Amino acid sequence: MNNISAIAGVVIKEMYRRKDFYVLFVLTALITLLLGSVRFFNDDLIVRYLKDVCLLLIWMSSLVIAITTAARQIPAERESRTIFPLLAKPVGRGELIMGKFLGCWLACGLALLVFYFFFGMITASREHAWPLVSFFQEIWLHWICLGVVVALALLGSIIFAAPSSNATICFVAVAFILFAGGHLSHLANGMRGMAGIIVYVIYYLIPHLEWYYSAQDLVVHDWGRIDWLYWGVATIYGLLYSGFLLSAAWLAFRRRSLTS
Amino acid sequence: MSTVLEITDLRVEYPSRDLRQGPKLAVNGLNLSVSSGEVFGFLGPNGAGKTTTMNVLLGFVNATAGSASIFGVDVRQPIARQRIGYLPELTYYYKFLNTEELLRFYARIFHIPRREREQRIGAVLKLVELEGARKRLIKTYSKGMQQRVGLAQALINNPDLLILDEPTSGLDPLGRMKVREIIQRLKEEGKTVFFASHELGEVETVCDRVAILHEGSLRIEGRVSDLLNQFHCNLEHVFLKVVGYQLKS
Amino acid sequence: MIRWLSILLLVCCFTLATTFEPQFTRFHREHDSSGSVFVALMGDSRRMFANHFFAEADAYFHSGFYPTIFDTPAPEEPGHLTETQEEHDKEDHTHEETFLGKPSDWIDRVGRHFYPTVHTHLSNGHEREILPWLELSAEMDPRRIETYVTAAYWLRTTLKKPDQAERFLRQGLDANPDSYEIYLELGRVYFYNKKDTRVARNLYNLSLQKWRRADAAGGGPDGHVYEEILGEMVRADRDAGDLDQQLADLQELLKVSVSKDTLQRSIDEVKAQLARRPPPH
Repeated sequence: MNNISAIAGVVIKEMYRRKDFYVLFVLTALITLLLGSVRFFNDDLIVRYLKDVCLLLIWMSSLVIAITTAARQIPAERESRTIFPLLAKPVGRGELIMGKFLGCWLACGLALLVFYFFFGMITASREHAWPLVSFFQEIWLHWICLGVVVALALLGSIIFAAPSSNATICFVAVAFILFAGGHLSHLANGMRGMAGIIVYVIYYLIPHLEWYYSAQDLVVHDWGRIDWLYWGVATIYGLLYSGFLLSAAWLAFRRRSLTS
Repeated sequence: MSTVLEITDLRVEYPSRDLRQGPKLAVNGLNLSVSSGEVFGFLGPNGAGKTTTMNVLLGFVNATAGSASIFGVDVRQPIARQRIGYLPELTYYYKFLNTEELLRFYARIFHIPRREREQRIGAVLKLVELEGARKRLIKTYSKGMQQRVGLAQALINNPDLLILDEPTSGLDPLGRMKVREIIQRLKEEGKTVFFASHELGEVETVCDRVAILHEGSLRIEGRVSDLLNQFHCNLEHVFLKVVGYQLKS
Repeated sequence: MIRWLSILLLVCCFTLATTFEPQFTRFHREHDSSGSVFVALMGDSRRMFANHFFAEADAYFHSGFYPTIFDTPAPEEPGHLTETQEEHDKEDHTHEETFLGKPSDWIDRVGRHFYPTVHTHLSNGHEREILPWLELSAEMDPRRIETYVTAAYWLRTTLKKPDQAERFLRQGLDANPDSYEIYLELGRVYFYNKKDTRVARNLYNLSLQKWRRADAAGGGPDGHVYEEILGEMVRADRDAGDLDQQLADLQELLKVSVSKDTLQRSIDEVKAQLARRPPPH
């Protein structure tokens, strides 16, 4: 665990010393504040569109941070050859993957805290209310979702040679899951033969990240908190998928030759 | 003297990119052993299999056949690397860290206690003469300074075995001299050093024993003084004779 | 030398400005009345966005309970943003089968706890939340009449902002001067909110004229709106105490309405009132 936390610490340090996060945060804040400054029909109490757009931007930014950070971790270590002095120390490849995962995931969590604090401020300024339980559930589910995304990008970084192609594939896959993942069974119902079976297999195989993404609607439209039981189910589901993807990444990486 | 490093019947093959060809043989039946307190020179022309052997020792590459162990532990186990320090030929470290942070990171990996960690960092920085630049980002260092950072990280755990891959390549004469002095000092401290180099004059000066590898096979191994007596020439000529190069003179 | 060059430059600028200004004005007039930057940037694709934003307003009206493109049409679709409050209230949404149907598997069942699955409508002034999307929709496609009418309806009814409703409707009239729907809604603003029956009656008249013109031109105008116009005219006549006009409008309405019995009773009542009225001197 010591090695994992040490590697994670370096990843976090890297994230806050790079400019990606700050640029995305400033962009999100600017667009939200710009939209917030518009008065529609002389009404100051309109808030849901602002919450909606702000959450959309937070989701997009967090996905960009998660995928780009995770996708470059191992390829960058190999390209800059920093992996050699690191693996020449008593560090297992599994520990390296876990450290990278934990670092990226925690870094995403820290970024989420900053983003959601801003979101909370915007909401409170208009609604004069802070539904802390709903916010907590939303941040948590968002973070769990990013865990799966980070694990996916890490697995991709071992399979695909170039970080850019891996990041693109991850973006496409995540966007597909978010927008169509939950509807694949309906699509499969309308298909016959092999195509229908394939779509069904994909439906049951993919991590259903749309659960986590759609939860923002509950916050935007003030539906109150999610049933804790299902919140817990979503948490375990996300963690299991992350674990599964990380195991696959470890299996692919553990016997791979690294030539210095 | 106990055996620190042992290689038995090591065979390493790389899959060929051309499907019509078989796998490429990089190391063929290598047997080698290094004892405690020795400075061992691992020599050979480019492509002889030196780096591949080192990669096996460090767990970067898996052996096709045979075995290798360090301090009696199979090199495939991460714990085998607990007591070694490694300096790669080309040193690149995290650009966003300064030297102190980098060394702290590696010290954590070696489970060096917090209090001891700072003392150790101070000591290795003093040894490689980088105390004044400890807070500077590594990306701002010159090549010589980066090489010294490499040495510092290799020494952070006070290793019993040092594996150095071309430690002086690309350094100016002053840098080479400093690295040589450090190796000499480590030798005096009783550390085992296993290093690959093309600088045969340097090897002749600091090494107790050498092995010459050619086309993946061990051609000769022995004490430097014995080889010089046997061939009646300097180490460079020994090397050339062993690899089959005919001197015109 | 510099002075002469400056004068020459000034003359050149003036010549270019006088040459291009009429062309620029003509380009604007020919292309779109909104003159918005979106027109230049997005071309016809902005209509797609306008539709999307209108649908977004509908989704907001249902607090996020809204079908996606993958959902099959339901027995009762939630897209009824343009219905009147009375029509809404008549509907019973408590036990309806929604577009969601029954959960198809455990993934669907669990997933339903993470998005709105209950059919509700905004109320108590929260209807204001749909307004940004309607304004954006109008900005994207100024010729989308439904947008103005819907926004004006909520502004003048539950949100009690008749001035904002009028401003938005007039904005809509600038882009759609022949819209009988907008004139009808504007008339309602004057009749129900500003209590100005005379102006309202004039606006209804204008609406009727526009409808008939569209009908004569073979535009196939909405027959339901025609009924609504006549219905509003009858109410305005009743409010103004103009029994003759009321009778005429009721008889016109009788020709097109399906509830003939009710209308016939109203006609009989008006006729009785007319009969009781003392003859003019």
